Amino acid sequence: MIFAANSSVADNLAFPILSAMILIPLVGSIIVAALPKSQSWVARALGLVTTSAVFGLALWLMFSFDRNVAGYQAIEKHTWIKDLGISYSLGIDGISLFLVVLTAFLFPIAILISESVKNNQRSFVAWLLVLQSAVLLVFVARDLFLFFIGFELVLIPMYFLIAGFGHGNAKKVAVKFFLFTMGGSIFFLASMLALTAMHAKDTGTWTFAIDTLMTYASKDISTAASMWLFAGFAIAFAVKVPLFPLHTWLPDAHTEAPTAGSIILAGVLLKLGTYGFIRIAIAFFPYAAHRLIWVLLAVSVIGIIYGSIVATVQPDLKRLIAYSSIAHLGFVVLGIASLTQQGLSGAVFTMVSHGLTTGVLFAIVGMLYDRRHTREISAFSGLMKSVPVLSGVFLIAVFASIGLPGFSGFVGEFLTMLGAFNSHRWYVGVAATGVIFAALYLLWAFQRVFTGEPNAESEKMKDITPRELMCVVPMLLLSFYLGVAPQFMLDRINPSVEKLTEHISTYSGQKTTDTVDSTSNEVEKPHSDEGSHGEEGGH
Amino acid sequence: MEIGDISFYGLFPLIAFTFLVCVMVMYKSLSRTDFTSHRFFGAFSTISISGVVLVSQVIRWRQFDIKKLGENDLTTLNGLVSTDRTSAISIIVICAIAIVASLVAISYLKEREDFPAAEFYILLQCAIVGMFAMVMANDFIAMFVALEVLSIPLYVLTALDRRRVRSLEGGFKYFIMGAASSAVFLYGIALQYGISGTTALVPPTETTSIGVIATVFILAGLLFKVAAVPFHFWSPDVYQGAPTPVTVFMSAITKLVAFVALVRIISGGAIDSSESGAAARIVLTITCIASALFGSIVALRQSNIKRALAYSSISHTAYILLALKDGSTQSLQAVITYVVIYAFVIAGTFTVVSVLSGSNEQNDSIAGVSGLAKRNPWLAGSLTVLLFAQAGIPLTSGFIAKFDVFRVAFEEEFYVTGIIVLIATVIAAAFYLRMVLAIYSESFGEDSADETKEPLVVSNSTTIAIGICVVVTVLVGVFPALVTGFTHVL
Repeated sequence: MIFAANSSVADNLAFPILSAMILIPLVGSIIVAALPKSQSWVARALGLVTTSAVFGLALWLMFSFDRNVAGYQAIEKHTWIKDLGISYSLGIDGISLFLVVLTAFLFPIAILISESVKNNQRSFVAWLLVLQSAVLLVFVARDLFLFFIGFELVLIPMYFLIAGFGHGNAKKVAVKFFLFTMGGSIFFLASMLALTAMHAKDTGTWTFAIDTLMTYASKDISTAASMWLFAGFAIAFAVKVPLFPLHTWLPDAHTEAPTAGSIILAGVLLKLGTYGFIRIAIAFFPYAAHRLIWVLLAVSVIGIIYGSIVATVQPDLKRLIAYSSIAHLGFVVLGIASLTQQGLSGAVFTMVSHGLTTGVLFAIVGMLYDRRHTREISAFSGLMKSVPVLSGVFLIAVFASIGLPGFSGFVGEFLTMLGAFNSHRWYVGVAATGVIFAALYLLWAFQRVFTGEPNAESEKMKDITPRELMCVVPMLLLSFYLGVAPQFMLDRINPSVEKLTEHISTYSGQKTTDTVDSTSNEVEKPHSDEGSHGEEGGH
Repeated sequence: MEIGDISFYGLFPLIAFTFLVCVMVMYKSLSRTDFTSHRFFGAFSTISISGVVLVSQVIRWRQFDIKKLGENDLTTLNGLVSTDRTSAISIIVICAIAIVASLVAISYLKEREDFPAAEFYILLQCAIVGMFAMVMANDFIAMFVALEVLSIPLYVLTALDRRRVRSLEGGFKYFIMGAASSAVFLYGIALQYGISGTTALVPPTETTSIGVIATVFILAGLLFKVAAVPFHFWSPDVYQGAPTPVTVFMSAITKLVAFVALVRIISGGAIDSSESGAAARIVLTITCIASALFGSIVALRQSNIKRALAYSSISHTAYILLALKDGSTQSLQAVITYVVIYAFVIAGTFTVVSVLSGSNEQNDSIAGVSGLAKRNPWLAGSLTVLLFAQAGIPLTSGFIAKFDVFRVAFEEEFYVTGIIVLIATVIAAAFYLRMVLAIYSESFGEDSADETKEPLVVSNSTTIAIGICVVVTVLVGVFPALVTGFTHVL
């Protein structure tokens, strides 16, 4: 075992795997940017090699992960700015492990699928690699300053990817995306500084370490401060997720972004917001979370219903899928807002599942765009006859995205709704209708695009190429595997989630509520998850 | 080495540059009108003496146990001048920016035979003397004299490009408004003297309501120099009109020296009594919020790049004022951190602008930036880094500066002002983002292969100048201790 079993030991490891995963893409991006212009295929090849290396490291990380440890593993800690208590501190636990693996999994696919980017392949690949570093930095940061740096740095490569390689109104949309998200980050900065300043005043030392601040914020600050800070952080993450009504940047950004950009945006960047909710918002301020949770619940349920309804009436296929992302992430936030172990585990699971299924959907829309240079649903018809394999893949992706049992979406949504049901029955009831809406808009879109008689242009479309198959099939297989056998993931997520819910219930300031907290889960814990797996796997 | 009350070692920067001015004037008057030798000698002398002074201040920092802000042991000239850590750091930065400006001037003057090169360097050196005196000044009279010595050469430098109407206009406006603000400053000093009986930067012995007027006048005089709203009216015209090497120097350093003077005044306690302290806080808060919103919003509507950068530098003033508001040592350290970092960023930005607009100052519209990435990728990359630093993106020094300022503001619980200024940050970011978009506007997309623009060649000296600024920006962004290690122990 290469990891310290004792998570509180902040010593350096034999191999700093997390730093390597962050630095390799950065180094790769510099090399790619310095390549001569004539050999641009080398850029993509190098990008593929780099991201595959990171994926290999991620697999190593996943298989060496100790499933019995609830705290951080693979810890690295170096002091950076001493008088402010900022340290370069990384670590991974059950909650962030699979987000890191998902990131490492999606980036090679994003590079592989970007065949159609003809101009400036070097800068495209370089920006993708920088984006990967920044995203990984956010997921493994154990220091708030580092988290914020990653959070902000994500904006620049994404901005260049959308503005430089997008379609249509890309430049304006990129600016809107950047400013909107930066506006949210401002709230993060303000709340972070206010919290650390409070801590510095109370204890006399400055620190930005997430663990220290989590304990401090949960116990030692006034309830009013707790509410304000929770609101500040929540707004920042709500812009990223995005939650209604701060979601208006998403449909435009997704639609105008290049395919690889959309896959990464939906698959990874949106998870930064939900991860932030789990890691910071509810962990730091359990009392405020309990008091203000109705806002999150309401907003997430509205997002589910609103996203689904608006998706139904979209004429642009990519925009439809963008709105479906809003709906899916509503489920994630519903799970987070349940503050229960099942809900949170379900939320993490749904994050990964959504990255996979929506990634496939965007990939296929990208393939349609490559062939016909349009995303309008009305421009396509009867594709099942002209491109049968592509249609089959899309159909499976639709099933996965809807949440059909047998795929990962079902497990995730089931767990989140289960977690939220005990205490927030009505919210879950309304959210469950969102599942039906998802089936409605996706199947209707499928019907309009793929069934029926092909029109003239649809006849001439080429079927899916082996390279494109190689991009989407792994994602679908993984979604299927996770839907049938989720224990592998859930076993590793649950200990950390349990630790979090214990922390929340300890500091939430409420003794007996109707919120199911982890103590009552304890009784059935060893078999509760296996039991629910049995239900899903056994039909 | 001391003679009586004069420590020559402490006054070395002033002595060196005064000597240099005399040498330069004699050289000009005794030599033939050979502009090449003027340019060479001027550049060489400025850069080398700046380097020597810079090194001397570094040595001074390390060798002697020089005092911190507010500790007045190492003063000379009977308390008129204070050679402590703050002055050491400020002089180091002034010398570095003087080197950058001279490097920019080398190629600028080479292409402009009609430009009076020797006078340029002489005036620059005179201004530097004044700036050294300003950061060392520990007494109101010394501060006023230093203010005049640094301002008057700058007025002339702004108007030095006699071929352009804008330059003359800028110089004239600067002179008139500057003279008026210096008069206000002096009157405030006179009132302060009337209250406290001394011109030293010490708290007055008794508090009267005249103290409020004195405080406001003194603040107004110095806030003029940093272009805070509502004392900012000179700034866009002067930034646009001045020859670009002058703008490089002036934009970076006048803010630095004026804020150092403000820091000394506040830490000395001269405006500390309850009424004038409250008045000072009100003035600073109002100017802070007004500058933040005004600077960032108006910058968006500009079409001239120099004017736009002038308005955005007004918004930078706002961040510094936010830290200045509270008089605690930590916040004053944050002020120094910001001006030190900002000096390099804005000097670098204007250096790139000087390359873009050329020495005949023809192309200084924002549209001139578009397509820069195709003409000169390195220049485009440098400008992008510098613009991101101004916007406060992490991993650049600009982020460290803003972080320090907001950290201090939230520590002192200036929540409302802090949030307003943070919102202004986002508005300002829109401006920088638009420019970055313009830089890369013709590099991407389906129409990228068609356009061919002439490549932009940058001379070696200017490349070194830009390189210095960009390297400092990035290095400090990744290793903030390079700056905070010094500025947090002032």
